[in-house]
Amino acid sequence: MSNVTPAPVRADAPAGGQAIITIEGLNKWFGDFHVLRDINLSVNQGEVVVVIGPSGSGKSTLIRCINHLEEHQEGRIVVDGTELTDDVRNIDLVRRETGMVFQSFNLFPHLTVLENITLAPIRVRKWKRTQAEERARFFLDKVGIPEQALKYPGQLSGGQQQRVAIARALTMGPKVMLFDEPTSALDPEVIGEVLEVMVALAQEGMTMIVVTHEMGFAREVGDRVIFMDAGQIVEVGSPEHFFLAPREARTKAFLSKIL
Amino acid sequence: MFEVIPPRPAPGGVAGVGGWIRRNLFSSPANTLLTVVTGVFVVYVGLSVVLWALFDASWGQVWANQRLFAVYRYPADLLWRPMAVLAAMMALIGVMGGAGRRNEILRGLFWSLVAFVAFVTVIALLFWPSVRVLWAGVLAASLVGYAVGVARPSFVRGLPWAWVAWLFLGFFLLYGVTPGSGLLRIVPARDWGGFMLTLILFTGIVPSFPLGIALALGRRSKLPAIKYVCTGFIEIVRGAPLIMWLFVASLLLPLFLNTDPNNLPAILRAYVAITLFSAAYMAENVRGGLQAVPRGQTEAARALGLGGWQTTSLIVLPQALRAVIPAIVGQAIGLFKDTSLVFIVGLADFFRVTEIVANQPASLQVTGGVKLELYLYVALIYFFFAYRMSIASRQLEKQLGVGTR
Amino acid sequence: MAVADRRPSVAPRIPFWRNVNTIGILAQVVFVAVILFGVVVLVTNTLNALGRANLPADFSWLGSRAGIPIAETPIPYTPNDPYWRALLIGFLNTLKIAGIGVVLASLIGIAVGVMRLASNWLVRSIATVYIELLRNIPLAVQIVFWYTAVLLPIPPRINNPVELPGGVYLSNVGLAFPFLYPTYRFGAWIPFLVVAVAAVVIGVLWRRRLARRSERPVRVWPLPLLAAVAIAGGGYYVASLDRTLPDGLAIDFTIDRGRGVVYRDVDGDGVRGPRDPVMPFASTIVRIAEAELTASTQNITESGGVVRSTFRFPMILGRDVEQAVVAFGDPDEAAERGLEIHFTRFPSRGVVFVDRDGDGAFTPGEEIDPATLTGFGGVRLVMTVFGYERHIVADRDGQVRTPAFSPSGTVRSAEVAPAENPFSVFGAAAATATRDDVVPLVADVELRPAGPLVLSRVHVPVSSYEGGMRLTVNYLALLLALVIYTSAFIGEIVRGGIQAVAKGQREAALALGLSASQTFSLVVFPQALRIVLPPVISQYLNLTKNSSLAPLAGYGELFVIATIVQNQTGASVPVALLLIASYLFISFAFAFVLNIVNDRLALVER
Repeated sequence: MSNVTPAPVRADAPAGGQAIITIEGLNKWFGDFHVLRDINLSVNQGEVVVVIGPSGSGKSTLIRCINHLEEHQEGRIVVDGTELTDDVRNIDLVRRETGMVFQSFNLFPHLTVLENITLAPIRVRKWKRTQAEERARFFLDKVGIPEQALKYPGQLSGGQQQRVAIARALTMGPKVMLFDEPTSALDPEVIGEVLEVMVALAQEGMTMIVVTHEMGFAREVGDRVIFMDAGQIVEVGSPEHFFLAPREARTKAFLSKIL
Repeated sequence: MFEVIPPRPAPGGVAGVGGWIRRNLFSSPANTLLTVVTGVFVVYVGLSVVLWALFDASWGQVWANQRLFAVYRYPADLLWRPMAVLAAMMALIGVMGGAGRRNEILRGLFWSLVAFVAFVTVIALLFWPSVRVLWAGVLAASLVGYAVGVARPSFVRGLPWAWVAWLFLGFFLLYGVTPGSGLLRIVPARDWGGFMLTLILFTGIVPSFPLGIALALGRRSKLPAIKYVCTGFIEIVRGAPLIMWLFVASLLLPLFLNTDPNNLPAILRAYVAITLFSAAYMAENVRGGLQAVPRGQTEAARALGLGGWQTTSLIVLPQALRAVIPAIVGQAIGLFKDTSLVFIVGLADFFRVTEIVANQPASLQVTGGVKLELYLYVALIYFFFAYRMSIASRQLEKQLGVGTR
Repeated sequence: MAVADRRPSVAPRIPFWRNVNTIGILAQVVFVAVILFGVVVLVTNTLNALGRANLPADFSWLGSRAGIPIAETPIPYTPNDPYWRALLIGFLNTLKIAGIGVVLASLIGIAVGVMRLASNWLVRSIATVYIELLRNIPLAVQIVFWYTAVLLPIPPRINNPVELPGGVYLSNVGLAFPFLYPTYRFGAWIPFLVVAVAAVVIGVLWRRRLARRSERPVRVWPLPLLAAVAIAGGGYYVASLDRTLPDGLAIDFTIDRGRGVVYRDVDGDGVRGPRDPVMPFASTIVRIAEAELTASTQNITESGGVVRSTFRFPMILGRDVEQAVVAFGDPDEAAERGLEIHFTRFPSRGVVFVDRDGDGAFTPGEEIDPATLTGFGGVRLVMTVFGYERHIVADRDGQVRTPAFSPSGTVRSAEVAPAENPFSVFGAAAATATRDDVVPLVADVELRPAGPLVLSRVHVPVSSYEGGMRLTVNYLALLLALVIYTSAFIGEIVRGGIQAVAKGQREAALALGLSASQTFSLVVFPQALRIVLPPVISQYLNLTKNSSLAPLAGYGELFVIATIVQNQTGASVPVALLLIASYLFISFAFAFVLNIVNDRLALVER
């Protein structure tokens, strides 16, 4: 990338697919600090996009913009046909259709695992309690911890908590799942159990955007990898492209550190 | 060859009662001297207090005026009304205690109150024929409440509404409905007083609770107008002492409502002042709790699609309030003590009754006066309740501290 | 970046009640409208009510005469002063009790907090009981307890106060102790004080710099403080060298009433006119060659017991007179009844008794008259003093007071000539000074030059204190209650602060070889201070606000004065506003200090 050509890198989804997320010319500032600069990104249905980059590169901010946890100042974000504008209804619509998993789990400590999971379906989707609990148990089973339903988050290990968080997001039946460094806060020996769940999810065809440093995960299920630095998309490509022949010097420097 | 060395008892001075005494009282010559000097001091003071209380003090006036201390001039034939309210209160606390009987703090608080009620009941059975049945009824109501709580723990969900209902019905029962005579005749507020009034004013903490939460949320609002109005209210109210607000409220409330001061009983004015004052402090406590809830909690809730109010009421507030229960109990202790300030608006609460009793002709005839006795008695009663609450607050702090780790 | 100057685009066609940008504004508009509506309703109501009741709604009454008597006034005040001055006195009295209270509460609180951590179980338990007991009893009860159950009944009456070491007097009127007051020469000392303060500042800065560069620990404070004390002391000496009195300083002394006023004769006519200002804290000496005082014995009830046959002259101490003689006013009758005098405090206090057991001294019980079974009441006694000389420092209002003596020999002459009014001994010396043996009452009053400060000692005329610093029993009761109550809270904070310093910190310091005291002063204390200071400051604020419980002790601080003013003027709204403003001012002042402290502590943390 040259310094004199500010033309942004486009991370468009492969043609032929049905785009579910479209981001055009996204710019965001924290005060005077320009965190996201001319981001163009689209994601197809069923695609798994892995976002990597050094800390402070804006990758978390990017996916937090997608469900409007962060407000953007410029550009368009369209999720499943709904554009994120200043309209409160649109924001709520988008949040319903996207699930998010956080680095620090953010389970609600005052609710049991089951209550954590059924809270939003009952309150937002207006499901009946029995229906919500049935779905919740189904997903708990799926993430491999059906027996923990009545415990409080504080009684679970980190890996179990993160799996509950995934089940919580899935129970809402989202069209897109956003993962914000889901394994960074975990002990090395439990990272595997969370990744397993994510891999299974990807293989079932869930649309996922994953901010992570787990290159093994990227290689196994990632359709595309995006490298971000200083609020910009630096390079886009398949996992293989990144492991074998990264183009940009910055990408090489970064990969040499984490691999 | 390896052999396990069997454990030996510790040498003297380390373990056991003797060791404890040595370490804590006689560890060095200076310490021994200190122990002896303070010991003599403690024994001297303790002995003189006990001797005075047993032989020199005249407790007759304290004993003779128990009804004034309890309800002031509330008519004797209508005592069943305050007692019914008290019974309902004890029953509600009983439900709480019964439902939460695995929580030793709640349980302990309940049984302390029951012990107090039982103590008074015994005295009533022995010496006060007119209120014998009533006190026995209060005791029974507490136990029934407890049994209900044990049998139907789910009743706890309705408790907030039960307390609100208690507050309103209790007021109407105390005040009465019909003029003239009869069982439900109106008892003017100026005849209310004593410990009953202290408890009534103490209930000001109930309405201050939702108000305080609203103020705290307002102060944390992103909208400047709401934020500054709430902040201003909180800081102005907290900036001045309660006694001043009681005085100011008693002056200004009739003006605010453009009504004759006699239309607004002093109790009402004091109650408004206490509630608003308490709400400002409650707001600061709740705000502390709100700040303690991590941002991630809100974000996770919003990411799940929960709306602003849902996030606040289902996710943030429950966590915030749980974190500040000890602070709220501390505030309750403060308010309980501060109800004694209503003397400034001419109310005869528990504290003020003391002065009234002290100036009775019978009190003035006692050689040396009875003020010391009266104030010690009042101090003891206040101490019993405040200290019991502060123990509970400490236990709560400990429990929460363990819970978060 | 090239994109930085683009303006955000506004999305069109969103209904305003769903637009994030407008929802907030809408909510605020509604909120403010509701609040404003409420305020307007209340204000209209209030104005109507005020108009109907014809109550003052402005502050014009502040200038009219207050007519409120206030017992304790830090600055000169009479009931003739206007309302604003009465309120100012109240505010100053609030500061007076808060300032002293904060210091005492800190000292006791620290002591109690440290006691809570003592290794001695007994000491620890006493501290625990102290804290738990005092924190859980309402302050109101405690104030009334100290005031009506302890300080009013227990100390002796003012006419027989307890004298504690150092010239401190305690009675049911209050406490009085010697105090240093600034005189007219104080101004000459001020430059030296300024230099001394500057010396401390510069010295500390210099020592700090030295400490940073030095190889060894440097004590920053001792040297500059020593220098400052030296400068101030030297300055005091220099300022005292000038022994001249200010121009026109004079005293207007009425000998037979025993009182005078020190003033500056501005117009120079030698008489104290209305334009001549009084001179406070002037040092005087009153000398009287020979004079007489009379007193009668009384049976009085005091501190729960009856005291019999006691006599009380104005308190005259041994150092005041060359010689004092107390004799019976009617020696013949006394001899006939066998009365004798026993001094409890020569020559002013004592009892009259009959030596029934013949041991030549007073035995308790002998002060009771066996005939009536009460004391010998009404026995007249005469004290004759020779060479009376007393240093008296004028009061704040320039007043100099001394016992009201009568000419020596008057009493006996009055006895001889009972037709002449025997009570005329007070203030009408000439009327009875007819016989030859009456020594006329002549006083020599000298004004003395003084240094910048003058030590004013306490005198007890008959039933009040004169001179020194006088604290009323109301002030003491409130102070005692506030200090003790707050000290319990501070003690708990101090304990928590010291305990909160992690055990590891102490262990690390000890492991490094620091001594126990070094560990405390260099490692534990600085960290504990950081934890303790903010909550302690808020306790100071609590103490100040709690001083508004003064009505229970009858101490005239801001709130009490304000309630009286409201009662007199009916100006409810203005008084309420003044009160709120005053307390907010105090609270903000504390918040300001707290912020500075927090900033400093945050710096330390980095």
